[in-house]
Amino acid sequence: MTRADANDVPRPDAQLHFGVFFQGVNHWTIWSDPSSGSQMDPATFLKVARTAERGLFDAFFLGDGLRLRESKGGIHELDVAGRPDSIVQLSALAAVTERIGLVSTSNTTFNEPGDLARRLAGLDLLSGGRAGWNMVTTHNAWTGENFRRGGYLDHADRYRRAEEFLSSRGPCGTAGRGTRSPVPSTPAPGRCRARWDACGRGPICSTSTWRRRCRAARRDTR
Amino acid sequence: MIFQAGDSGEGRDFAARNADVIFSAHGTDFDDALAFAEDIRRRLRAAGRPEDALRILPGTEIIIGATEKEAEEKARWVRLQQVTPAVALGIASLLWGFDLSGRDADGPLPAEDPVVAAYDGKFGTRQLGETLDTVAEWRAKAEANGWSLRETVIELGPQRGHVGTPAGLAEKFARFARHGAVDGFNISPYLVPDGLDDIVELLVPELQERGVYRTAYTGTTLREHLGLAPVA
Repeated sequence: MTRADANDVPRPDAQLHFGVFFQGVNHWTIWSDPSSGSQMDPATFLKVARTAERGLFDAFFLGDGLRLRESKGGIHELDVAGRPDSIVQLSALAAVTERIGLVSTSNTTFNEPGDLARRLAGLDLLSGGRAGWNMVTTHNAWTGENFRRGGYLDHADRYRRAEEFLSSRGPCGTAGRGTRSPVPSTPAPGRCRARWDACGRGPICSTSTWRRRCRAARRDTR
Repeated sequence: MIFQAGDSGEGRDFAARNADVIFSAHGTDFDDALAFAEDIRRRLRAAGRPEDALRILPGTEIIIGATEKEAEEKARWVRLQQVTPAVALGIASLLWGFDLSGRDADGPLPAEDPVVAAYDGKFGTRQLGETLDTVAEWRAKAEANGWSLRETVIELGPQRGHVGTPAGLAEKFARFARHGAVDGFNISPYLVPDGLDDIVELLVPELQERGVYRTAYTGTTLREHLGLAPVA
């Protein structure tokens, strides 16, 4: 189909956007072939990112996990241990690429919004507006065992929390340019703590809920 | 820029309300991709967002050969490397619901019926009926074709991706894009770091020739690359 005879389709001028998904644990990336590179070496990430940029890709998309996969009591043999945190990895790539978008997989269940927003905003600033955030909403207790808070969220609650990541505003954050994630100006620890305590169920509530509960909390502590 | 990959109804609604890019598993079969895209556009309208506010980029693998035959041979090699005997037994264990790691992947399918354990917080849930249907289909096809367990997993297990010549794939992808079935692909290279080379050197020029792929970056930010409206 050439452009000339494409007029009977709904989107004759459609443009394809490519991203490259650099995965974490998986059995799809072949490791047994001699040409297979290290899954940790920065040179591997750089080669993939530069090839994608040469191919005018929109984004380099980095997978990540928060606990090593296990199999029958041992570490899953196809997992990758020792990779840098994805925002750290992408910050390094930001310095040696020019145009390609840099998308970090970061978890809403086990991160705190103000902290994560600051790191993502930092990547966005360092890269000149090329940061993206792949929001993942892990809900399983198995991953939660790696975190002090532990536990997990019901399926519906993990999206509630993720949505509250996005809608949260107020003293801990202001909306940043180029991203709809909350970007902290100067986090005020005391007030963030109040927000955590006031909300009870977790550190984050939607703006209206937070305001209501914080008002109630202030009343109670007077 | 928010990327999101949920596939449940809740995950799709979440993406329709909040995401700039949805990363789906619906990019191999044209009808499936189009149905997914139409469902997402319905949810976008319901969420009060314009249909072009979200880019749909299914994850995929792309295997390229100079001829169709060469591409198929390469795909076969890739599948054999990916689905080792241990991987085949792992995938089958998930389906059957109990540990099959001591079995012979090059032998027949397990004779036992699958069991579906209570959700243990580690893996996704499956319905027993759905599992029984899948196992019945695997048994029928393995018997008809004389496949071992490993061959059955290769043929019928988790599948993804496109296989073909640069020109053939470019035609196919142009159709996907022009019918609104996808806005692009999030490509998983089967080898790192060299697995993108064929795509960049052979496929991208064919797409450019068909006018469905940029010939230079026109913006500097990820939002501009994706062609999304600026933040107000």
